[in-house]
Amino acid sequence: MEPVLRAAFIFFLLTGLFRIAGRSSMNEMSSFELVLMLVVGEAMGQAILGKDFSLTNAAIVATTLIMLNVGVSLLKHHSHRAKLIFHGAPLVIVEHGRPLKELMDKVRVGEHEVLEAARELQGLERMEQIKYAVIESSGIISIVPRDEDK
Amino acid sequence: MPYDEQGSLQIEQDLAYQRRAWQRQRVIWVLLTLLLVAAVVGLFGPGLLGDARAGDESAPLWLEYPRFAHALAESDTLRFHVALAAVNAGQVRLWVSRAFLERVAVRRIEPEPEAVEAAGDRYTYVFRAPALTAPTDIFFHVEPHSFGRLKGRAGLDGGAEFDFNQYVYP
Repeated sequence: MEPVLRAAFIFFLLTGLFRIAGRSSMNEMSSFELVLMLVVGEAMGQAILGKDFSLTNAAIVATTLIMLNVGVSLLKHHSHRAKLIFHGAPLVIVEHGRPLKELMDKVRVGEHEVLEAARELQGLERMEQIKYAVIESSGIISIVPRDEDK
Repeated sequence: MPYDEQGSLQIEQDLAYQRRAWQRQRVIWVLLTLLLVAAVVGLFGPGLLGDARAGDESAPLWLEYPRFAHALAESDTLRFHVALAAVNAGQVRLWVSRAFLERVAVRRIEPEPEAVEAAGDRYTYVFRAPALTAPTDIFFHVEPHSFGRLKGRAGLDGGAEFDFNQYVYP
C-alpha cells in the first residue's frame, strides 16, 4: 500500500504546486523549466521509491501515476469544475489591439511576451495587429490576428 | 461545455472562477512562504526550533538531539555528552530505552561500543574509556522506521536518566 500512497501523494502535491505557481511561471521559464523538471524529478523520485528499488515497487509506482493521470483526465472530461481545477481555463489578455492590463498583471504576462508570441506565431509587428491574444491553460500565448492582417 | 463569447471569439473563459482562483492562489502563496520560513527555522528538521536538549547539562550525561526527524532518513543523530564522572571502572555504560530503539534502525554508533547488553526495557551500550581525560561525545545515527511521535529514555547505569521526545515526519 505504501508505494501507492507515496505515488498518489507526490502526484497531487506536484499537480497542486504547479497549479498554484500559475501558468506564466510554467511558460516563461523555458530555459529554467528543464532544470526545474530535472531537479524536481530527482527529488520526487527518491521520495516515491524510498529505499525499495525493486522492479515490483517501480512497476507499482509507475502504474499508480499513470492510472491517476487517466483518472484525472476522465474526471476533467466529465466535470467542468474538475477541468477548471486541474487544467484551468484560457484567458483573453489582448482584445482588438488593446492589452487588458489588469488581467495581464494577474497572470504576470507582459506586453513584450505577447508581442514575442505575435512575431513567432503570426509574423505580426505591432500590438494593433492583434485581434485577440489568449493565454491558454498551458501558459502558451495564442494569437488571433486582425482580419486584415491574416 | 460552457463557452463564453468575447466579441467574435468563442472561448471557454470563466472570469468569475478565475478571479476567485487568483484570490485563493495568493492566500496559498502566503501559506507556502510561511511553510518555507518554518522549514528554515527548524520546524521540520534541524534548526533554531528543531534543536533540543534533554538532561541536566551539569550531569555526567546529557543529550542533544533533533526535535523533528524524518522517516526512513538517516538524519536523526543523538549526541550524548559524556563527562568524566560517567566513567566507571574504565567503562561508560549508556542505556537507551527499548521502546525507542524498536522504532528506529541504528545505522551507526560513534565510537563503536564494546558490547551491547539487552535487558527488559532497555539496551545498555558498553564503551571502553580507560584513558578518558576530558569530556567526550557518543553519537547514535538512527533512522526512524515510520512517522509519528517517538518517545525515548536514556541514562547511565545507576545514574541520572532523562526522557526525550521527537516527532517524525513522513
